[in-house]
Amino acid sequence: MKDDPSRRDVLTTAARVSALLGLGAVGAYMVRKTMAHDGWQIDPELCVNSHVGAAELVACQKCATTCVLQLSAVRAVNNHAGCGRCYICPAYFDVKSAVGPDGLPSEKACPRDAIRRVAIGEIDPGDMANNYYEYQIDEKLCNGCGICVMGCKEPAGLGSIRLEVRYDLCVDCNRCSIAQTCPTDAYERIPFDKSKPVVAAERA
Amino acid sequence: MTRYEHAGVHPCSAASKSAFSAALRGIAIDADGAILAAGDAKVAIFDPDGALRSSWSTPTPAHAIAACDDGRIAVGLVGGVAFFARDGSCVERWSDSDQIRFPTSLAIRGDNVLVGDAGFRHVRRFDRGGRFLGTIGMDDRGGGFRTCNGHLDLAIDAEQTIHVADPGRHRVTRFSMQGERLGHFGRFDGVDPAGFAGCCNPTNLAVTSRGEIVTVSKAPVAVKLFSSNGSLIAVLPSDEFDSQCKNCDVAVGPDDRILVVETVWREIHVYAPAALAKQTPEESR
Ligand code: SF4
Ligand code: SF4
Ligand code: SF4
Repeated sequence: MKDDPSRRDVLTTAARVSALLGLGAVGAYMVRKTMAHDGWQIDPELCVNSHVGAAELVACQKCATTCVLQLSAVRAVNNHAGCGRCYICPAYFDVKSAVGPDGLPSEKACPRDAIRRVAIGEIDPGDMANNYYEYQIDEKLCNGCGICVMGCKEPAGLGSIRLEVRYDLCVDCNRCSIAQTCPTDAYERIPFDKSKPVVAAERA
Repeated sequence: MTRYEHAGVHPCSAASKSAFSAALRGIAIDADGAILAAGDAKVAIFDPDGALRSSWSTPTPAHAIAACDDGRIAVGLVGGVAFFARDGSCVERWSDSDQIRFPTSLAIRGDNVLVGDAGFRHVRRFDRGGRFLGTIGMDDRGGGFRTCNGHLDLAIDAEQTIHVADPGRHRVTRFSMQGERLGHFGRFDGVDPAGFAGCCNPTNLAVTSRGEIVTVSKAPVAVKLFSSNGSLIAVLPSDEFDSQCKNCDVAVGPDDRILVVETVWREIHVYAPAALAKQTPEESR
């Protein structure tokens, strides 16, 4: 005769079932993600932060603040081929802050200190204005607030930085909360085959 | 020290009459005070009072313009320089993209033709026959000027000193005609107007008959007058420039009037020495 199930057996079974259900949900999500043909992306021509001619001087930070994820699925991406590698980058520095003893603006623009400034090529230590600088965005720190994108926009900069939804981070909500609140309808569904190479190429 | 006043928009370029429909890129003033303008794929010449004298098409977009002593007009085109007679006929053309890539400024003095080449990021010197004489600005470790905006501007003063805007270094650098570095002035500063603000400024410059240097910056537009030793004399009013303006060319006339291009509306703004300001016709868009 089979004994009554112990409390431990019940708990073990429940844990297995919920693990299976959890795995099932993750599996279903993975299947949905794999099968999906399109995803959310930002049209840089419409985003307030990158649209040339937008009169706003304050960055729209809704991509950072309204994503369902704790750290938004949106990141700033620098198209290095289009970057001027400037000595004073208005996306990196707060160019209106007081000049420090090193001749550089004393404050940075990024509130999360997510941009690294690295002198590249043959370095002239005697005159730092002679060097080129690469501006690298740390994707672990960036929350897609768009402040650097606004700073880099023409005519102040060359507009090489823009916001992108990262497909590997985005959970593809049925109703993207950023798309719901974006003031300029910059969010659009675009096919993966169109969007993925862009991200891959620019991160290379 | 001369005090300047903003004397309005030059009548040759008020929006209702603008000769340029898409772009006004370069201006110059000849010895008689006529205004030479390059933009679109076109050259236009105006009387000092604004009446259109003539205009003609260029084979490709016109990026820079300068008056030659012999009356011809030199125009910078991608890959070369074309020389026109005043009737618009092309009398000479240099087109060798190994020698000239993207001329965004021209200055001609005596037998010297200087091309500010944003493609090479240095100044290229030729004689009047088109013979290449050398480069200017390639001799430091930086390997050329920092023309992040795709624009390189220069001017020659009465002493034959060449002044070049080096926006990425926030400087104006001076050279002898042979290319020897004579020094520089300017530094980055987003607060103190004596410095140059933003990422890459100044973008454009010109020299007055007294050797003062007029600089133009972008984002926002700032027009500044510096003494020949680089001390700030004055910041001229520029509130009427659209915030999207960039690479606004500047020219100084024989009477020391300063003309600055408003690139969005394709206008020419006039700054007149105070004594002349009241004689300058004022027009607004
Ligand atoms: S919410 Fe829209 S406008 Fe605002 S930063 Fe995001 S994409 Fe740009
Ligand atoms: S988007 Fe915001 S957090 Fe990300 S690098 Fe730019 S300024 Fe920093
Ligand atoms: S779909 Fe969801 S996770 Fe993706 S960007 Fe929009 S709110 Fe964020």
